[in-house]
Amino acid sequence: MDFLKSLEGYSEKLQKTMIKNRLKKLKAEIETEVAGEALDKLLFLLLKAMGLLFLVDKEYRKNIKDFNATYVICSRDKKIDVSAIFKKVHGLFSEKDGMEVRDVIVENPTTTVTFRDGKAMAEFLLSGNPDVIAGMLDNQLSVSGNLNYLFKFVYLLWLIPELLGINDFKERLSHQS
Amino acid sequence: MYDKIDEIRDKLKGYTPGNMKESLPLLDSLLELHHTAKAAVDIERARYMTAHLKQTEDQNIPMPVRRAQAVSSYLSRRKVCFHDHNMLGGATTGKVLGAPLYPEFFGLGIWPELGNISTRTENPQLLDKKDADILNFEVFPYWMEKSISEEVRKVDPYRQSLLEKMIIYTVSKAATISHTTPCYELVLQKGINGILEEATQKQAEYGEDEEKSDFYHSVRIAMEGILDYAANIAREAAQKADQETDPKRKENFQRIARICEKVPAHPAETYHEAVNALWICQVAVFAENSNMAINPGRLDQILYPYFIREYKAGKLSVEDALNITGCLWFKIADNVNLVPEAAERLFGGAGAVPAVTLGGVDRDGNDAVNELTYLLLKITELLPIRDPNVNARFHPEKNPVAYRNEVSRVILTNKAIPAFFNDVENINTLVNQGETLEHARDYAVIGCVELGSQGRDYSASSSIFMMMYTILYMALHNGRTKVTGDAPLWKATGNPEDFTTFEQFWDAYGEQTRLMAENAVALNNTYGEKHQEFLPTPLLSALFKGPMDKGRDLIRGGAVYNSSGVTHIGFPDVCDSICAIKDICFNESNSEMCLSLTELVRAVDNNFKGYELLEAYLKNTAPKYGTDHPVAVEISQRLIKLGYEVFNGQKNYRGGNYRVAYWTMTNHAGYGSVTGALPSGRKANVPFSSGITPVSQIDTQLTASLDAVAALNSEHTPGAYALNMKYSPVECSRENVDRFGSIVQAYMNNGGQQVQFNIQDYETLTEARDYPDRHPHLLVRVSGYSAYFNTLNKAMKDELIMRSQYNLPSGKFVPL
Repeated sequence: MDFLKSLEGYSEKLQKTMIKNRLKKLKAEIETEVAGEALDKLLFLLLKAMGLLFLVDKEYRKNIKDFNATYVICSRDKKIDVSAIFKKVHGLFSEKDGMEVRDVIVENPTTTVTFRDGKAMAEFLLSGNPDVIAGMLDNQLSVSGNLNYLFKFVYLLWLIPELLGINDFKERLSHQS
Repeated sequence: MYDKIDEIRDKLKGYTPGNMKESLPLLDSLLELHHTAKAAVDIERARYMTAHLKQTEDQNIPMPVRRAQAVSSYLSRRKVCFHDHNMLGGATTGKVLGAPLYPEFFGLGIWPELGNISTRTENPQLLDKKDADILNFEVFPYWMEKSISEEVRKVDPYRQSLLEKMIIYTVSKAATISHTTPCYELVLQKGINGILEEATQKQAEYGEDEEKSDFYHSVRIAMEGILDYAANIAREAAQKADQETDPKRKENFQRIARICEKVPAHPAETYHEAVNALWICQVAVFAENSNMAINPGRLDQILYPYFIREYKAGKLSVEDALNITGCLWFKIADNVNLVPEAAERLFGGAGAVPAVTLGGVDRDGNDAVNELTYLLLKITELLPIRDPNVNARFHPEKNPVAYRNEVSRVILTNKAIPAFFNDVENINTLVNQGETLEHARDYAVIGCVELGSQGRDYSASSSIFMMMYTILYMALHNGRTKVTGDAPLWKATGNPEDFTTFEQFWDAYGEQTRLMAENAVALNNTYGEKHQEFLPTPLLSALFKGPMDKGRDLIRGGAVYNSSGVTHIGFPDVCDSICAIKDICFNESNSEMCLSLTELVRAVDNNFKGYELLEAYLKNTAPKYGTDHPVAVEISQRLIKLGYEVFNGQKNYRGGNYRVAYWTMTNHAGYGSVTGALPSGRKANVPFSSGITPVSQIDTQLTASLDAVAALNSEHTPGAYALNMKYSPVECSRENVDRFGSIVQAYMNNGGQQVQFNIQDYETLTEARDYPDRHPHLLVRVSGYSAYFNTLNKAMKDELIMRSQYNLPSGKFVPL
């Protein structure tokens, strides 16, 4: 059952507590993922965390005030297909700016970023300083659509580890390698 | 020329880098401050411009007027800062060393780095949380759909996507046009008030012609912004003077207040006024146009009347002039470009590359070297700083040997600047581009090495970068690239096995060159049209010859000349590769090494794994550009001719020519590090050779190397080229200085257009790379501009170390 759906009917305070608990779990899952080899789920977990953070972190949510955009993130080897849709989210705590994650490619995205493979994507996400231009230069990723939207999206991603209390992705990556 | 040139030169001899502390203490202290300043992102312009454009979004104001209002609003409201005791008022930004942000161009590229740009590995640029939040919440969202690249994507997504592949071509208008030299003489002679008056009259005269009327209206608004800015400097300086207790500093503030009350509003009368007026206008140009290669121009010509009049009258000493000029040097160096970290790989270590041009001939063809030329050379010697990029024009028949040798002495002393430019070849190539002889003689160097008639040519000299590696790759792979899939990108021109003669291969190479040129030109022109629509430049237009007469903005072709520049990355390596192809695949008389093109391409595609003998042959024995090998001479000349021919006749969006050039900044290192092997024996991910410079570590004599470059037809390189030479350090004796100058002159007599030097050995540069603290301010020539060695990325440092080193007295190659 969808996590957010499962919150319906509870008080707002309780909903927020449950989301924060879910974020703690997500943090642990992200840390486990980063410590592991595969890193297949990393992006999906980060996006899940992003969506929940928008619900409970007012400052973070400011970043997407009235923001409507759709991102598709995929890989050339077709192993990654994720969409992130920024829009008003209805139902939970009334209407708010939010983000929905889907594990399919949606049509007509604002921006599509295609990584060479899962490894390229993981390196990008874990670099501590995800660099779109460097990724393009090194042929690790390609972008279709509005590049400025991707710049914003990468900034939003970059904020997540700190908001979750994961101190240093870069350090983890260097330990891993 | 003043009859006491020797008197001034004698006085200048008393000033040396060693006695600066005593002889020019102000400049000595400013030098120390310059070296300790940390680059910081400045958001003031972005904030004011964005706020104004937001406010006027739905007001139906013509774009030239609206943009002029935004620029003027920023100039009027921006903070006036005095960071030190510089004698000039005005600063590019509110930071000591500022990186202004231009959101209409590529400013949003730092969005992902807002949280860590201050601490990033490559050239951090300070940005505090408050300013980062303003960018994130106020500035960047407004530009998401409006930056120039996104406007272009709406009409030509295909070619824009190819640009974003990074290694096919680059069109710089995504980040800038700039790259031009205004006519600051206009301001010094007429004052901004004079320009304003002219614009007012013409607006009334052309009231019914909407386009012209809007143009003159926009000029008026822009000029008022400059006047407000100067008045604010004067006011702030007067307040500072009132508060200051130190008598010298008080006097300095009072003087700045007096000067800025007068100029640039009114014509300049003194040297100090002329210098400050010019500087305020340069700052104002940055308010409208990005801080990339906006050039002060021929300062020894522009400022000479003010200098000599006061000097003759006994009102200006050599020391005063050195102090004022030195202050200008530090002001010019008060800004850098804001670039995302990745871009540091391609453009790393650059300042804003404002070029100052000295010497050469005047508009009538006579020797233009004067007392101020020598004074500016002295400042260049005393202040070895990154900007301005100082360039010395030399006409072997018109300029004195004493001048040639003084330039040589300064290069040997500060080990990097200035660069030498050959007036004979450069004037000829500009005349061949349609400039009148008088205008061509008045050329100034733009940014790195490009040429343009000062104040007459809106040269946009950095418009297109052609990736020659990719052209060759496509010619060898039936039109495919590594980044655009399995189908030919533009046209199938044959696989290696299809070519039975060298000429068939050459035709394929030529066809791919033409196709890349056509696509790059089409995209550049689309960018130009979008600039016309959204980014008119009334302020810069008012400081040019042409727009005020035509009633037309520069961006719409208002200038006298309207060229665009096309530079090429990887010429030497691609040239060597084509030499190798001809020599071993299509040369039946080569008994030492003979193999099919198919086999050669296979070896290259495998990065020579399993082909080590072939790799060694290619590196050590195959013909190389930079030698007198007939194949190398033939191919280098054909390649240069081809580059010229494919752009000759193409017109830009302003009706001007595309001028072909060969300079690379640090791109040759950056792009080299992400590209595959080449038939020259160069392995994958190795930096290309810089500019037009023969590939490093070829065992050849200095003269052979210079001769090979000089033999290239300069009519085919109207945008000029960067030739980088490295000499072992030598004593700065009269004999060595004369030899240095003689070699340069011989190279020029043979047809060389430009040459620049690093006077460094392998050991020093290696030590500087490994122990940066031992050489904290080491200045080097990259490929057009100067940079502090420590600010360059590792690939670029390695490339500088690897560059062939020659012994000046013997002319022999010094192997690594």
